Parts: sequence; structure tokens; C-alpha cells
Amino acid sequence: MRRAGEIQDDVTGRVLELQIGDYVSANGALAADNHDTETFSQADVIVQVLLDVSGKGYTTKANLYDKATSKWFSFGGRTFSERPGQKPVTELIVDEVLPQVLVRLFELSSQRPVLFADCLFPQPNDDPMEPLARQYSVEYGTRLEASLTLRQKFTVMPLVTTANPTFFRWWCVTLQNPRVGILRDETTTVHGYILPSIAPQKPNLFLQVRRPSQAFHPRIVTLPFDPQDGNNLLIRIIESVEQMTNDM
Amino acid sequence: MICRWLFCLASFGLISVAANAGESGGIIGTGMLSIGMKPVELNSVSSLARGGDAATDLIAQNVQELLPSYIQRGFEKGLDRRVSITQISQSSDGLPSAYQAIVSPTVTNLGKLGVRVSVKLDARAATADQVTSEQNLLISPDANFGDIDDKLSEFGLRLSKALTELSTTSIPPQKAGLPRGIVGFYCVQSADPVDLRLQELARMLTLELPYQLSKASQKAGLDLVVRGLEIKEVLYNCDPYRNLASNRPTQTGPSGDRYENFVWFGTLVAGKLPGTSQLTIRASDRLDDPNFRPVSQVTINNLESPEVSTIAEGIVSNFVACYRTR
Repeated sequence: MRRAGEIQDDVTGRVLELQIGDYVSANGALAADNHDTETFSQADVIVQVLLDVSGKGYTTKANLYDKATSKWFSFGGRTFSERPGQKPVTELIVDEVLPQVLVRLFELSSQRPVLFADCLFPQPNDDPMEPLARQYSVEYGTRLEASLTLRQKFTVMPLVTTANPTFFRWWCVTLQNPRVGILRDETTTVHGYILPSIAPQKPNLFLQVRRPSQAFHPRIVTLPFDPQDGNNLLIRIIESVEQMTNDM
Repeated sequence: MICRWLFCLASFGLISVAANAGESGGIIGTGMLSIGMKPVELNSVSSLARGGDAATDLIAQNVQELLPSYIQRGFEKGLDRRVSITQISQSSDGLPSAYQAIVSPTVTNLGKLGVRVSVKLDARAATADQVTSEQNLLISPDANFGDIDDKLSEFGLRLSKALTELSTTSIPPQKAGLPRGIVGFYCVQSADPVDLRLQELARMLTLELPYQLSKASQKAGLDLVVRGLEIKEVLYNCDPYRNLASNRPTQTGPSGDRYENFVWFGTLVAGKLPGTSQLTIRASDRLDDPNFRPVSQVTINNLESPEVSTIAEGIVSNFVACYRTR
């Protein structure tokens, strides 16, 4: 029981510390314990995580309630067990559930097609490149959001809105995979990989645009990644995204 | 013991939901794929389950509950498409037109012998005939939830392979003589260990060609989709001269967890004229000729900024011509 309580506290803490767009998060379990009905009546969305603990391991499931439509959305359940050398169970649950919660939440929050601006991923274990990847992941998302061309077609949602290194390590290094739409097929995700080029020895940015049903063959363009000329780099990224989303 | 907790999220904006959009195509194609699923039946073999086995009961109950999630994840990963699963009644007969396939799962409690999972797949073939396959999985009563997660994840991928296979084994008369199915597009490698520009171009083609090849196939009216490698796979496996994983040349090939009708590799050599290169695609046909043979040669005139869509159209056109004359 104590173990389950610890996991609950850890997962709740991770959710509450996330900055989720314009949303304000509240601890629903605490509100329920305190018979605080006002928190529930004010909520636009309720996220419920269920954990079943047994001798063989853990089973987790999650549900999301959207008050505007009075609809529940269920997230796929999954089983886990603690294994030597593996991530702690809390991390496994957070990594499995939270990205799905966030993607659904953002898709629900707009009636228009959504364009996610996700990470510019650094090469795994490439520490020197990580600060630049972090900086440009935030900056290109902000620029995309301001693009009039894109705003005509999409609600642009930057998924890396903070240069906080801990968040970036988790969202863009640990989780690795870009977030694609769950509810709608027209949800489009932009992301990139910053990798060393072969010749000349400067990194390249491989920028990708994908929709949930086009993961087989995402559109990719290669751009030279030259942070010395940062403004030009950002302009080229925006132009490439505008062109790629136009062609889709 | 079940533990539940809640997070409430309030926003100041208006929240609304849009209906699921997406075209519903065949199993090989784009758009959301609609699949009907019958409720998971839980049976027990009375002679084996007599007296009961608590561990197996727990596994059977959890597998019954979670199997639909694993099947959906397996289809989405294996087919690389969003999959919409609709619960249909156990008594539904045939394959309603709203669905590309019907999944009928059964979990059997075998007592001390463990749990057997059987899934019957009814799919619509390209000829519109209904085709069926059945896949099975055995789970030991000693398995923990981590082992079960591995097994069910692998089983989900196996089901997606079986579904793809079912839908590509028959060819409609109007598409006879044309290639159809999934192409696994692997590394384009430079044959020159010294020419860095050629190696850079090879990497760029490995990454950018799959999208353009799918587009060119669609333009040519083919039921052919091209699946490329993930960027990390390209980085670690495709460059024989600066392989980051082992510093040894490797050849990335089919991993076995996805169904592919064709496998393509590319080789890039310097052209006879300065500033040009020659791309050769070698292909194997899983159902017909598994040996690799050259199917396409395309000249690339601009090494710095090649017209990838034109190159892709050339490859597809050469491949169709080669396929027809087999």
C-alpha cells in the first residue's frame, strides 16, 4: 500500500509541475479527499490514472474526461514489472501516460487542425549539442506560432515552451519519439534531428513533418544547422515547414 | 489493490472536440484504418483449470482486459497508421463494409499450463474477398507483468503483419502485373570511401527518398507505400565509413517485426561526368524472388541540391517496367 501511495505521489507531482498550455492543474485526489466539489465543477478536463498492484507487477490505465462534450477517452492499458537495470515504475508510468494525456488535451482544445512543434532532437548522448537543441526547440516553436501562413491553416501548438533543462531532457532526450496526433488524422507534427554532417563538418538539421497516418514516409528536408546565423536558420525552418505543410 | 487518482485541469479558453476525420482506405494506404473488434472471450479448459491456479487466473483476467489496447498499439505501430477500433457484438457475422477487418480475440485459461491467446482476423483482400487468419500466443503461469508486456507487444506486431499479408496476397485483375504492398526502403550507401560529398548525398537520399517514392507511387496509380528508416537507424547503420555504433560497416536490413512485400537498397557511385552520380536500387520481392537484383539506375546531375521528387519518379517508373518484364 505504501509503495502504491509513493507512486501516486510521484506521478501526481510530475503532472502538477508540468506547464500545460493555458491550463491550470489541480490535485483531484486531494480535492476528492477534502470533499472539494468546486475543483471538479471548475475543471474543463479530468484526467484519471488507475494503477493495479499485484504480485506479478503493475497494470496501469488512464482516462480523460472532456466536460465540454461530456465524453470519456480511454488510454490503452499496459502492464509493467520492476526489473533490474530498468527505469523505476513511476518513470515508466509517467513516460507512458503523460505524453498521451498532453496530446489528447491539446487536440481537444482546438476545433481547427493542430500543428505540434515538437523537439529538435539532439543526437543521443550528444551533450555539447543539447543546449543548442533546447534553445532552438523553443525558438522555432515560438516563430511557427507567429507565422501567419501557418495560422491560416492550423492552431500551432509548441510542445517545448520552456528552456528548462530537466524538462528538455525528459521530453526530448528520454522519451525520444515525437508526439503525433491521437484523435485526429489531420493533426500534424513538426520535429527535427540535429546531427553531425559528413562533409563539411557542420551539423545538419533533418526537419520532418508527419501526420498520424503518414508515419511510414514522413516528409524530411535537410537544412544546414548553423547557429552562428541563428536568425537565418529560423527563417529557413519556418519557410520549410510552410512549404512542407502546404504540399501535404 | 486498486489505486485511483485524478488530476483536474481548468483552462480559460473554450474547449470543444472535433469529430474524427480521415479517409478510410484499404489496409495498404493512408488515412485512419477502421477495425471492428468482438468482445474478448474468456474461456477455460475445464479439465486443465480444475482446482484453479491463482497466478493463471490473474494473468487471464488482465490479458482479457488489456488485449484490445495491445492489439490497437500493435496495429498502429506495425501499419504506421492511426487505427480506430470499434467494439462490435459477438454475434456479428461477415465483414461489414465500415471495417477493413474484424478481430475476434479469445483468452483461454489452461490452469497450471498458463494462458492461450487466440486472435482470428477476418480481412478484406484487394479482390474484395474475405480472407481469414488465426494467430496464437502462449503465456506461462510464471510470467510476470513485464514479460507479459513484451509478449503482448510482440503479438500485436505479429497481428499487424498477418493483416498486411492477408491484404496483399490477392491482386485485383485491373492491377495484375503491377507491384503492390509495402516497400521497406533501407540504406543508400556510397561506394566511395573517400568522397565525403557522395556519402552526404547517400545519407540525404536514404532519409528524403521514402516520402517522395510513396508520392511517386501514388502518382503512378500504384498500391505501393514506401517505409523508410528512422533517422537514428540511418545514423547508426547506414554509413559504413563512419558508423557511430561500431565503426564497422553494417547493412541495415528487415528487422522481422514488420511485414514487407519488397525490400530496396541503394548504391551510389560517382558518375562518368564530373558533378554527377549514379544511383542503383536493388530489390527483392518477398513473394516472388527473394534474391536482390538491380531494378533501377538513375543519374543524379546536381549533387548539392538534387531534385529528389524527380529521382523518386525515375525509380518508381523503372521498378514498374522491371516488374512487368519478369
